[in-house]
Amino acid sequence: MPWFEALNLRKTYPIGGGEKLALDDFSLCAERGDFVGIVGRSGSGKTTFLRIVAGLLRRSGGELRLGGREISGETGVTDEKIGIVFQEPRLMPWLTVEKNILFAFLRQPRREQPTEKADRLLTMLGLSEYKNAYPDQLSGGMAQRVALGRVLCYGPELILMDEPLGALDFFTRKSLQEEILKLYESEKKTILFVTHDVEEALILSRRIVVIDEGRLCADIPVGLPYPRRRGDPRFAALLEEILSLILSRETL
Amino acid sequence: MRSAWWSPFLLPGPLVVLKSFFALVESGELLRNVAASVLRIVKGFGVSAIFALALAFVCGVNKRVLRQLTPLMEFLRHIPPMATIPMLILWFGIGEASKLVIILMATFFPIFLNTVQGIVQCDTGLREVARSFRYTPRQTLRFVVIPSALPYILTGMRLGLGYSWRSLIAAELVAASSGLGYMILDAEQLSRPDVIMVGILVIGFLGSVMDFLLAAVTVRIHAYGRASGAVV
Repeated sequence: MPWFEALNLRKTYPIGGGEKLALDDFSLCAERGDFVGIVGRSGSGKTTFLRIVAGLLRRSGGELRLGGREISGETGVTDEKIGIVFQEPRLMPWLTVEKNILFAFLRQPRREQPTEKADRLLTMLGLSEYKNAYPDQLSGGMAQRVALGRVLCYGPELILMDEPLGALDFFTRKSLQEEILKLYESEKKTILFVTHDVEEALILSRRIVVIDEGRLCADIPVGLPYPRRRGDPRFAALLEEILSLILSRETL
Repeated sequence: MRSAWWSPFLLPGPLVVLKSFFALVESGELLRNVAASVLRIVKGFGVSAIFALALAFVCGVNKRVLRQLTPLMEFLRHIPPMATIPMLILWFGIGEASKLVIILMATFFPIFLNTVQGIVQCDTGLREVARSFRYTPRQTLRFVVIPSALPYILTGMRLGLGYSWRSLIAAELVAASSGLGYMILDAEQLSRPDVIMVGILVIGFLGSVMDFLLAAVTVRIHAYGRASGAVV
């Protein structure tokens, strides 16, 4: 049985007296340590899927299992921790960088907060100097690093990333892609990574899932070693294959 | 002292005002009146802040309560506290209670409305972050909503504090025998514009000091007050 299973997920939104189908019998499995890139055009259901897994949205039907256990349809609560990195950093503006990283533990007494782990993460993410800075003193890339650190500090087995690099400039994006890969290789977490950038998905993911109109269109393994180069002919062939798949569905 | 430019009766000169100030300090009259007024402000503002914050949190968290209370609040908000003085004397007599109610009426709405605004406008993205870390609604309120609403709460408190000084004269119109408002009204009866000026300046000074203290306390509690520009 796969470690993570989404089976026949359905999600409908009420729109003007009718219903819009955002996810239509969508199924996806992942093993522990997998890195699954989920690509598709805007409105294809990528974010809806991630928000359901994170427990931020109620599903209309289907099942979700993590580590063999059902994730509650009401709240998404499970024994296994799930963390999500959003497109925007969503840092608490009144907390320092360190406190933002420790955010999941602020409800606990101070002595029970994993401050050493936070320090380690700050060093790993190159943020040690900014430990006592506030979010409005950070650049977009640094803020997104803090958001990443916040999730890693929480220690989830499954990390959901909803276009976390979507709002960043080209150079920051490249450096954060490398950072995410480093973290993935060192932490060995399972990652579901939503993006509309197929190239980015190819650089990062072990598998790429194409989603269109709430349905799974393709599940393509990326059998290339890290780090991946755009100049690699196999990279270009995969990019071509996925892009033509998405574009052909667009013209339907 | 006479001035060729203006009548000292209409606007007493600074030296005359300063002299009156020292005379009032020396006689202990100023300190007595300041103490009486500050006590009224502290009591009226304190009670008002407790009520306004408590009701604002109930309304901010429970949208149904807010919807049902909004028409009543809108109605009450537009009634000037001074217009209610005759009724307040009937209900509460001419003692301290009616004076406190006037201050309370003047300070309640800025605190209440700003706090509700702060809670309602708390970024849903930040609430979602808390939810994703499995924060309970109560934990979300404590660790996300209240800190996020703090600049609004502080603004409401500072506006309320300012209004409480403004309503002081109205409050001390009600058969007062002490307080800066009483001192000003008494000076008016005695045609002492210099004493009136002392009263006005002292109210301005005390208002600024209390506002500064409130801001300073909030900065110590929360750095966000400074970061958000709510505290200067």
